Amino acid sequence: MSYKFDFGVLLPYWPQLLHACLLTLWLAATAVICGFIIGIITVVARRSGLMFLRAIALTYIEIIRNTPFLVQVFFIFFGLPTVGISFTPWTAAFLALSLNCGAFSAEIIRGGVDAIPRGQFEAGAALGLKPLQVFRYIILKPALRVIYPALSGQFVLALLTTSIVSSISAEELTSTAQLLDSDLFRSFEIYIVATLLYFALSTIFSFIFKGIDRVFFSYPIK
Amino acid sequence: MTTTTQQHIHAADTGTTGQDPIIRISSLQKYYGAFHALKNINLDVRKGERIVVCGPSGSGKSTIIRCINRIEQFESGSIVVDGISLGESMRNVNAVRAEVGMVFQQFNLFPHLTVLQNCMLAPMRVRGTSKKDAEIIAMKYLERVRIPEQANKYPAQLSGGQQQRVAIARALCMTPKIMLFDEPTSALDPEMVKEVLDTMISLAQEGMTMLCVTHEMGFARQVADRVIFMDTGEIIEMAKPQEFFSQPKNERTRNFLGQILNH
Repeated sequence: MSYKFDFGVLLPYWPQLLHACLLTLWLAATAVICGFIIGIITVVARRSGLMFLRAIALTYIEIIRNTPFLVQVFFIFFGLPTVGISFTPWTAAFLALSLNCGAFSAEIIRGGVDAIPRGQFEAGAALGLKPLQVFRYIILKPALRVIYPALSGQFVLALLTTSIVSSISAEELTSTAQLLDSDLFRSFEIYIVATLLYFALSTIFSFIFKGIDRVFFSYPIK
Repeated sequence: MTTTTQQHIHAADTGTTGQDPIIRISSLQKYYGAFHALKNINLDVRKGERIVVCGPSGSGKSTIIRCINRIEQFESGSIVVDGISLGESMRNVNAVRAEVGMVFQQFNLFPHLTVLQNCMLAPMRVRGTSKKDAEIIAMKYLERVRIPEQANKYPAQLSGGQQQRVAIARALCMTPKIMLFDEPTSALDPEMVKEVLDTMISLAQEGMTMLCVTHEMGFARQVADRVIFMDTGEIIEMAKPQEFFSQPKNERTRNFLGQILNH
């Protein structure tokens, strides 16, 4: 163990690392917001009276949840151009993350909706609200409250999953770390720093979700 | 044939002959799988009439009133509410639901909305009432059920009796022509039953058409125009309260009354 740490060599690159952090945060945030919306739409589709909507939603969820994320990324970035649909690494990364996050969120949110007592749906219907209105105004918020810890956990996981899109060289934190490593040959230092930065980022993410929890789900329940 | 005869008997009972009923239930059949929950139900309700439905659990009493606003589906027969026939399109179902208020055993207030917001939701989203007007309507009915000071609390902060009064106010905000009560006092602590019954009595005195599933026989005596006894999915007996309680005709009615009045 005669290794001498030298974090000094990384100092000149801090603007690059900071930039990578911000891009990672941005990618994760947009993908999570998009995935959340996809998740809600998928839950609505799964509860729809129309068979083909239910089938589409279920197929989507099952395909995403039963295939590796890396393969999904490769399919979008390397596969789709074959049929004339090509994306920049960044867009491909965003799409893959959103779709992935959407499918997992959908399953979590569905669990929340299932936990809402039937009487809530009935009370909404009895007041004359249409099924989508019942879902939007009566069911959604209490359902999200039930599964909020699991959902925010999933969103933090989405942030960490952004590291996988480094494989298509989207300029996020992991690929930046890889680039620095190939220049500096200081793997140990670089990945210690990267690890700490990811930890900081997910802490920021969790902190934001706690704030959202306080603002939206603080109504008293029995 | 039997249907027509029954309807005539009911009409004769209450003197409704010649007046169009606000609710007409004809030959209603309802199954849960193989279980025959409602067997050929026929019932006419006049405007302004107060009907109490009682019977042992599983007799179909809640199911009947839940069919009236299609919270429960039914297999055959027809229900016409204020001239609107149920069983055809969803458009009709929504039209009926907007006219019919419902109060549930478990209150079913929306936990994430304040009392005021609970009352404002349907007028705003179903009728398109402005927020300002919806608030005025909501406060009017919260005062009506004597609970305006709780407007900004959440349901979980209220007692059961208060919650049920809010549920009544919430239904009234849609200015329904008919109110359905599904065992409104069964989930309440005994000391809170009275405040809810008082609210219902004053509603009855204002001429609201009411169908009420309840075991509160004092309430039935005081406000009901007719009392219906159900068992095993059938209407066994239907009479004015004094008659119903003093000379029940059917054996099963006598047994039931014996059980619930002597405890």
